Amino acid sequence: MASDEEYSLQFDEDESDEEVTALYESRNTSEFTLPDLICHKHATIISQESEFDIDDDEDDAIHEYEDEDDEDDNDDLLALPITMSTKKALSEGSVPNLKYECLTTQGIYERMLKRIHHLQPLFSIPPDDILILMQHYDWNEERLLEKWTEKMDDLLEEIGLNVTSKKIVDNTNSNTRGLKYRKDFSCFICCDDKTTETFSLECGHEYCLDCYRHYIEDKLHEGNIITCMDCSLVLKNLDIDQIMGHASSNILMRSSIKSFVQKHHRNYKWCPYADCKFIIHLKDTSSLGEYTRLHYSPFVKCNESHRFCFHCGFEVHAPADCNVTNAWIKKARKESDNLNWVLTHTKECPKCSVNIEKNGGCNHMVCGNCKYEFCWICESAWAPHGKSFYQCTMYNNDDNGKTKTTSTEDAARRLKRFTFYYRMFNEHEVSAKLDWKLGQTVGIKVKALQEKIGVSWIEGQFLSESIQTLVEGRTSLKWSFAVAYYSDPSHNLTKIFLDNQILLAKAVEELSELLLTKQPEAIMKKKPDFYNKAGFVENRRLALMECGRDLLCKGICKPTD
Amino acid sequence: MSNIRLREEICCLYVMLCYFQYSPRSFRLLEELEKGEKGKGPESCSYGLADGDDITMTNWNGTILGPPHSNHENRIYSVAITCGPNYPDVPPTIKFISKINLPCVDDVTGEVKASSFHTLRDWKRSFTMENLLLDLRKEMATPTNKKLKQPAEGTTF
Amino acid sequence: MASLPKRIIKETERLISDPVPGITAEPHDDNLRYFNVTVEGPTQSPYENGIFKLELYLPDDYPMEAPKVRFLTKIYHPNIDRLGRICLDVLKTNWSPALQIRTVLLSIQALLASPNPNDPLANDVAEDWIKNEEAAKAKAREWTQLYAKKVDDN
Repeated sequence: MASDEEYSLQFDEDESDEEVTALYESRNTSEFTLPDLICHKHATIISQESEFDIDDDEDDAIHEYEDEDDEDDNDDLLALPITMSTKKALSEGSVPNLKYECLTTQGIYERMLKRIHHLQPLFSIPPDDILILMQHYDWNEERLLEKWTEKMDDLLEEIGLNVTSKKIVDNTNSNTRGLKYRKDFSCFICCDDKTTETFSLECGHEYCLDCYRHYIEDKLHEGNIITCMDCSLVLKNLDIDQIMGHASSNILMRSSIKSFVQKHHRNYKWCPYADCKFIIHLKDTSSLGEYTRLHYSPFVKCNESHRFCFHCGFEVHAPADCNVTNAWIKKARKESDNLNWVLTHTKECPKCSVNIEKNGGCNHMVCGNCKYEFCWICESAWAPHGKSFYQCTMYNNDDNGKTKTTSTEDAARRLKRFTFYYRMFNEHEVSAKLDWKLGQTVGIKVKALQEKIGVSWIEGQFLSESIQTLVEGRTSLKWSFAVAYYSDPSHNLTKIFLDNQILLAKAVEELSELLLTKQPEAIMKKKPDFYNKAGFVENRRLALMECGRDLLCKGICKPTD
Repeated sequence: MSNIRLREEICCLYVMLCYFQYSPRSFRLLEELEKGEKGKGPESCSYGLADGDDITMTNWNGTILGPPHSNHENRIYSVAITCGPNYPDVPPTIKFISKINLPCVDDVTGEVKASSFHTLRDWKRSFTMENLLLDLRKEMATPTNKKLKQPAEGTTF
Repeated sequence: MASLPKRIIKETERLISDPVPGITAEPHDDNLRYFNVTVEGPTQSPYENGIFKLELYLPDDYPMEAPKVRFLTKIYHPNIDRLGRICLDVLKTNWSPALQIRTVLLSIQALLASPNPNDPLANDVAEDWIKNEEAAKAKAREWTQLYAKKVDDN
C-alpha cells in the first residue's frame, strides 16, 4: 500500500537552492494575474460548494492518516514545544514548526518536468513519453517505477505509447504522425468533404483539423490522457500543440496537476481566496493534529499574503478553531435558506430617512443630510457606542429572567440568537472588504502625493500595514462571533471573551475611521495615529485570540448543532 | 413504417437545412430527475418520481419547505406534479396535498391555478419543476401572502 | 437556428440503406435528432425472441458528446434500471466521436447478450444475478415474454 510519504513529491532532496530560485523566477514571470483580494471565498460561504470543500473522500491511505491524527494519546503533546515566541508567531498567523512552500500548478509541473529529466536514464524512452506515463500514474513516481520494472513493454502497450505493435489502418498514405494537407478529404467525424488540413497518428486514423480541435478542446480541462479518436494511441503534448496551433498542452498539463493536487489534498492545499492561483505544499503533516488539539490552527500564507488554515483549508479563522469553523459554516449553510437576509450596502438614516451608502468599513455612520450619528449595525444613536460600551457586538440575552419557554419559542429564540451572531459575522466580513477597498483608494491617493512631494515609499508603508492590521482585526472579530455563539453564555470566561471582543471592535472601528480621512496630506500627518491605533488593534486581537483559545481548551466553547 | 417514407424525409432535410432541435421530453425529464436524485438542487425544495417504475415519468412528488418569517415557517408542504405528454412545451399541473391558504391555490382541490400563478401562466420551455417549486415558495413569502392565516399543520386537501 | 450536421444525415441514411441485423432506428418526423429504436434480444440469451423498444437522442454536441439512449420496454437486466437507463461505458466515459449510432446500438445488444452484474445500475437485479444466476435469467426470460413479445404488424 502506498505510504503517505509517497504523496509528497520526490524532488525536494536533490533540488539545489539555485534551482528553487530559478523556479521562483519562472513563476514570477508567468502569466498569473493578481488575485482579487477584496473578494474572499468566504463572501460566498453559503453557496460554497467548490473543490475547496473540506469534506474528505479520498483514498484509504489518507484516511488512515487522518485517524491517526484524531486519536493521538492525550498527553504527549509536550512533544511539540510551544514557547512564548511560538505562541506569538502562531497568533500572528504563521506556524514555525510547519515547513511549507508556496507553489503554482505551473511550478509543480515544472518540477515534474525536472524529475522526468532526472529519471530519464532509467527509462529507454523519450521524456515526452515518460511525461505521459507520469500523467497516467497521477504523477506518482514510485508507482510508475514499480510498474515499469515489472512490465515495461506491456505498460507502453497498455497506455498507448507503443506504436509499432499497433494494428495499422490499411492506408499507407496516412501512416505518419502529424499534419497533412488534403484535397477533397472526407472526414469520418463530420462527414464533410473538403480540402483541409488533417491529423493522424501512426495508426492512420485521420480526421480533419476542425474535428480534432473540437475533440481536444473538450478534453483539455479533464486532465486525462487524450488518445486517438478511434484507438488507444496517445496524443503527446507536441501533437496537441500542433493540432491546436498553440501551446494548448499547457492547459491539459495544468488540469492534470490540478487533479493531482485535489487527490493529495492532505499535503497540498489551494489558497481559498477567490482566484488565487497559489498552492501550499506541506511535506510533513504529522504536527497538524497537535496544533488542532491545542485549538491552534496551523495557518499558512501564500505568496499573495493570503492566510488560511492548512488543516481545514478555510481562511484564517482564529480565535475559532477548525471545529467551530466547520460547525459554524455548516450551520450558516443550513440556515441561509431559512433566513433571507438582505445584506444591502445602503440603509435609510433612522432619523431623516435619506439613503446612506456605507462606503468604508467603519460602522460609525454620520448622515450627510441631518448629521445624525448612528451605528450601522443596530441603527441606534452612536453616542453610547463611542463611550462606555459597544453594545451592538453584544447579544443581550434580555430574556435571562424568564425561565420556562415552550419549545417553539425556544426554537425561535435559538434562531434569533443565531441570526444575531450571523449578522455580526457578516457585517464584519462586509466591512473588512469595504475597508480593503477604501484602503486601496486611499493608498493610491497617498502614493500620488508622495510622488508629488517626493517622499520615499517607505514613508507611506504605514498605510498598507495599517490596512493589513485592520483587515486581520476584522477577520478575527468576525470569527470571534462564531466562538461566542457556541460558548456557554453564563460562564465568566465567556463574559471576559465578550469584553475582549468589545475592545477589539472598538479598536477596529477607530482604525477604520482613520481611513475615512479624505485628504492625503492629512493622512500623512496622522501617521502616528495610524501606528497607535494599529498597534492597539493588534494587541487587542492577540488578547482576544488567547482568550478564545482558553474557552476552547476549557470546553466552554463547544460546537453543537 | 416504410423506408420510402424515411427517404422522403431525408430528402426534405436537404432542402430545409435549418433546424433547431430540442431535447425530447423523456431526456429532459431524466435530466431533471438526476438533478433531483443527486441533490444538486436547493435545500428548500425537493422532488422525485412518484412511481420509480413509471417509464413515462408522468407523476412526481415535491416538497416545499415553508419560507422563514412567514406563517409557513417550519412547515413542509407536499405537492403532486403531473408532467403531461407535451411537457415541457406545456407546463405541468401542480396540486397541493398539504392544506394551504394561498390566492393562487384552489381552496377545494389544492390545485395551483395557472391563471393566477405567473410561472405557470408565462411558462417557458426552459423552466423546470425546480423553478416551479422555488417560485411557489417565493409566492408564499410575498408581503401579502406571508401573513395569511394558515390551516392546521398536517391537514390535507 | 442550427443546421442538422451532415454527419447525422449520413448516419441516418446508412441506418436505413444498410440496417444492422436485428436493429432498427428511425428518426421522428418532427425531430431528426430523436430516434425510435428497436433491438432484438440476442439468441441464446434470456432476451431471445424479444423486441425491445428504445429511444435515442443526439445532443447538440454530437458526435463530440455521446448519444442519450434509454429502454422503453421493461427489461430485467443488471445494467438497466427501472426507468430504462443504461449503464454502458461507451455511453459515458468511453465515448469517442469515432463511434456511431450503429456501434452504440450494437454495444447495447451485446450488453443484453452478456450482462455485467459487477458494474450494476439496477442494484437489486444485480444482486439477484450474482446470488442465483439461473433464477435471474429465468426472470429475465419471463419479463421478455411479458413485455417484449414480438407483435405482428399492427
